[in-house]
Amino acid sequence: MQVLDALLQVLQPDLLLLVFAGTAAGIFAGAIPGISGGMTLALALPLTFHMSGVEATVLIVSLYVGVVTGGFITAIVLNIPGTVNSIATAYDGFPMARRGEAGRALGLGMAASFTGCVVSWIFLVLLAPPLARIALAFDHFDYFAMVIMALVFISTLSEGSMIKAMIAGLLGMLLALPGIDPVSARLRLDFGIPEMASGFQMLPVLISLFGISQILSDTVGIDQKTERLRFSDSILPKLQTLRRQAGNALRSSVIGTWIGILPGIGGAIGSFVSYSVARNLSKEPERFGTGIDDGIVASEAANNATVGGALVPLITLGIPGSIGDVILLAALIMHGVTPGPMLFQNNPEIAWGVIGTMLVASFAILAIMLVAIPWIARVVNVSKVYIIPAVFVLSIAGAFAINNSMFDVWVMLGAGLLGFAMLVGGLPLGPFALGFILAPLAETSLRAGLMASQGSFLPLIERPTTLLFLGAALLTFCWPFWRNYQMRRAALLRGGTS
Amino acid sequence: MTQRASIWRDLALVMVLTVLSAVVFVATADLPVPRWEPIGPAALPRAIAVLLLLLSSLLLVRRLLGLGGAVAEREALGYVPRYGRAAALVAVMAAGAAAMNLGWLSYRPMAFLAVVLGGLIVCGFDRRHLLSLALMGLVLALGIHFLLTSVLITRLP
Repeated sequence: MQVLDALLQVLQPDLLLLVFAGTAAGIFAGAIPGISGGMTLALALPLTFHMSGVEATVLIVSLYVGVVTGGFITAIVLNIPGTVNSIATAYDGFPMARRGEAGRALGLGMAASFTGCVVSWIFLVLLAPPLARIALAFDHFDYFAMVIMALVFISTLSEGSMIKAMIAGLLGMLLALPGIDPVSARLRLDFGIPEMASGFQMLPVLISLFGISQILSDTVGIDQKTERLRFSDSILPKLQTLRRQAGNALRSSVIGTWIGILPGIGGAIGSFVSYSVARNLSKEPERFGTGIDDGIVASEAANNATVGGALVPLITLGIPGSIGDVILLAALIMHGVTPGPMLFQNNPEIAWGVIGTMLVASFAILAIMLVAIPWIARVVNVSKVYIIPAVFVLSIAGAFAINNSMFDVWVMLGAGLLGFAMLVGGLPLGPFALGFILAPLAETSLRAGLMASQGSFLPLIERPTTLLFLGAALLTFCWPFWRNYQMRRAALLRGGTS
Repeated sequence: MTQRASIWRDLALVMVLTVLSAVVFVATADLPVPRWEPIGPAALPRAIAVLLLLLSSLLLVRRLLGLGGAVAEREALGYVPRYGRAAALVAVMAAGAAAMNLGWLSYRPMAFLAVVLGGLIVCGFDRRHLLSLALMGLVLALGIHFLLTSVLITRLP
């Protein structure tokens, strides 16, 4: 019944307009190489200042779903994924487009994205309310352990070195600490600067992390050659093709949903895992990568399904499952809403608003894509020469408008330089953002738990839930080392026998 | 990026992290000892500093043992990295923010100039883009100002 109410709420004209505006903007932004999903969502945050919590939620969720979907357009036609989620889509999408079947590839991607969204929405509806009820029994130590688990998960699965990913997460946590200590109310790490008393605001840091650092990175690589997007055939997939791909789409959607539920693991991993499962189960695995339907469907269904999956831990536990969720969490906090197990009780309109928007946005995307793909094709050819300065002036306006303070603009520029230095230094931005957002929760949970236990750390290993989370974190941390050891041992044994 | 450059990059990272950890220890030295709670406001910053030192030591050891650090040869990808242009863009951003901070320029002229100058820097001062950049600068400066001040009722300088 609540699901029906949620859908009716989102179908009201003003919210429906926001859904269409958000998904359309998300598709366009996701389709433009160089505008990342995180950047789009961060730049949209200032637009929600004067919206209600529900309106802000509807806009950000719609944008989020749109960005993930839009990324596959350039992956297919230009071999340049608009977002990292669509890298695996390019493996088969681009060869198919080069054969002159770009329309067919886009149609398959569109249908698979829709399936992924709807399947993950069903899981969201079924899992979120009961999980929230279970989470009500969590105590401070459980929350602390959960944050540690999320940070270890995202660090282990980030691109590149795990050590660097963990360093990035810790740096994010460190950046969240200056200002008034939440427990003792004492100033710390303010270096005598009055503006530092309130710490670094989320918005300028997030805008710069995903906006400014990205445009600097794009400027460095401005001479990279890009082709112009063009296609001419129909985008509507045939019924026979859809029937043949139904099993693949459903399986990939379920894989994507479950991968999305794990904190910190994004759509990129979901699409890669699903793509390799589809290849391993195929009767013709050698055809993967040459432009076949199965590859596009597996990747696109999975990466869209991760969106719904990632929303499960966000609205039930307050733990973001992806970069998009980090921004959504920031938007909710800005509107005085705290995601977590109490969300369904304290702000049911927000919790169900997220759920309702997810489904309505899926239909909106289908409608927009059917009509607008030829137009999007023109827009995605916009040169970075125009995108880069536009992102800059938007970022300045957004950062200033938070508190009418130039200090936030300087914070934004500083954090942008930090983000760029991190990109050059091989430190991933995802763990940094997660650390920055979750550090206050980790600290207050641990300190409140220690006060309740009169200084004893024993509950960390005595409580089953805490032990489960910390155990999962430890196993995830140790797994790459164990795998490397096994691989080296196997190589040595092979060398010894040959 | 070559293997050698990658090693220097990691060494620089280790040095920066070491200095940062030292700064955290110094900055939290005068925080009071907790009286009514088991750990005080200095505990988490110090724990993070220690972990950063540990992880950077691990990174250093792995580098010295010749492990990790496989990097893409960016120069072999067919383009030259334009670090100079990125630095110039940062200078334009900082100059724009400073001009607003000092009250020399309000948001609209700053945004217009930033779009034109920033765009020209990115394209290597290709004059063919000048007119379109000026037009875009005008639209963005007026459009963003209108959206934020008249529609969303926030303030801009």
